[in-house]
Amino acid sequence: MDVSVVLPSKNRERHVRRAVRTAFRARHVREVIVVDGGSSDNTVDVALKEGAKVIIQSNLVYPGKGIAMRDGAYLSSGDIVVFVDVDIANLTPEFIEKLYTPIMRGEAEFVKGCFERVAGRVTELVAKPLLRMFYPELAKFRQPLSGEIAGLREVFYQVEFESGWGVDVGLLIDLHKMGVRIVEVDLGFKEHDMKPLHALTDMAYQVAEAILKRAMRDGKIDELWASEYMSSIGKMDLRGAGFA
Amino acid sequence: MRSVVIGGGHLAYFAITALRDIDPRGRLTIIEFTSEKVEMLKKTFPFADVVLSSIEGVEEYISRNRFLIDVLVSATDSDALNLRYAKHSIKIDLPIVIAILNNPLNEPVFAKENVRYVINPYKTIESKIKEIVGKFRVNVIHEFSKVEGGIYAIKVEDAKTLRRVQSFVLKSDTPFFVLSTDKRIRASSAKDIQIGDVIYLACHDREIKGLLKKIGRLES
Repeated sequence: MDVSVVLPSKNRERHVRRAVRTAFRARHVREVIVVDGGSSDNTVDVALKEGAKVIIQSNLVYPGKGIAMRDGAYLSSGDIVVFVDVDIANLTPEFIEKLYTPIMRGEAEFVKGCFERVAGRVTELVAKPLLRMFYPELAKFRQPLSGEIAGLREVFYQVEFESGWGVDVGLLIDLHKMGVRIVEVDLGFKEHDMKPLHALTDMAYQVAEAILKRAMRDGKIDELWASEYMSSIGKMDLRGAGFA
Repeated sequence: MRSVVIGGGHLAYFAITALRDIDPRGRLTIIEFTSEKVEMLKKTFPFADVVLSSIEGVEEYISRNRFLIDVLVSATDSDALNLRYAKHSIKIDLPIVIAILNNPLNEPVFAKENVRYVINPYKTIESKIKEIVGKFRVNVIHEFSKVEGGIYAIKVEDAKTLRRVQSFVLKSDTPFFVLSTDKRIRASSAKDIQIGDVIYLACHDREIKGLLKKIGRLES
């Protein structure tokens, strides 16, 4: 089985060279795809020079992570697609191999990576409580928002990608609902920049929205009540609540 | 003419209507990925065949019908898919392959992959901004797709501009017409251009830049 590695990226000139080289060193990797979010630095040129395929994500919306992942999956040609953050400081070929190994062995069709570090704040305070409420069978995942994932290419073609930060938890819920076999693998320690607290507001909102939308779709919330409530949010005065 | 449009969003909408205008009797097929959209497209475009396909089924469909397709337009909401389908269609020698971009920044990516006909719907934004506030102080009315040039409008504000414009028109033999202050459209000789007129010139990019430099509307 061939593997495509997708690296969503924006203004990561400093990291992209090493990330592409490392990805190519992993066994079975036939292509590396950098999906750029409209960088103003040399990310694209560096990626091309290193032999990666490059596409600019279809919408330059913030945060656009989901759009970038979708475009990466659509452009890839490997049997397995692995998604990895471009700015992991301690990225190794083994890191990528660990992600796809359960698929190669026929033990799973979708793999979520998790790390030694304590899960992030949005994971602990938003994603996990909501998953426990509406999808308790998924509450066992240590890091449901982890962006390090792998899956059979064909499974990614059967789901709709959320455009923003809700993409990872959205994929987890939708693939679980489709009956795709999912496992979580421990990738060890991940050296990664942490976002400041104020930068997490949008992320938390989008993660909550992705879960609640699906809970509504799956009949876990009264649809009429929820749609009235959701539309009333738009009319609320949220000044001072951290929303732009 | 037999055309295939991939996608059912707003980019595809304009491609479908344009193809219909060009050849009302032509056969048009729309390929979409979701059954809800397929039903809607059937109602919106009753003259077209609407086909539901998987992401990967598109390439198979195109290959199977390669001898029946004159024009293929890839207009999905993903540039990754548009690139993939355009490359595949070129590879199997479809006569005309057009990709419509969602993100204008992808133009060089498509060019690198030899996709010859790429439509960038945002291209006019640049020229329109320049038209309104730009340092060029020239209205870009139309940009030619096959050569670097277009139709440009310049207001003849003063005597210096008038002299330069007259000399430019005489020397370069550039096609032009004039919209006069009394709102009449004239296509006459260079000597009839007057201060206050708007002159419309059809010329190459480098020529208009040369003229703009001479009349002080473009820095050297």
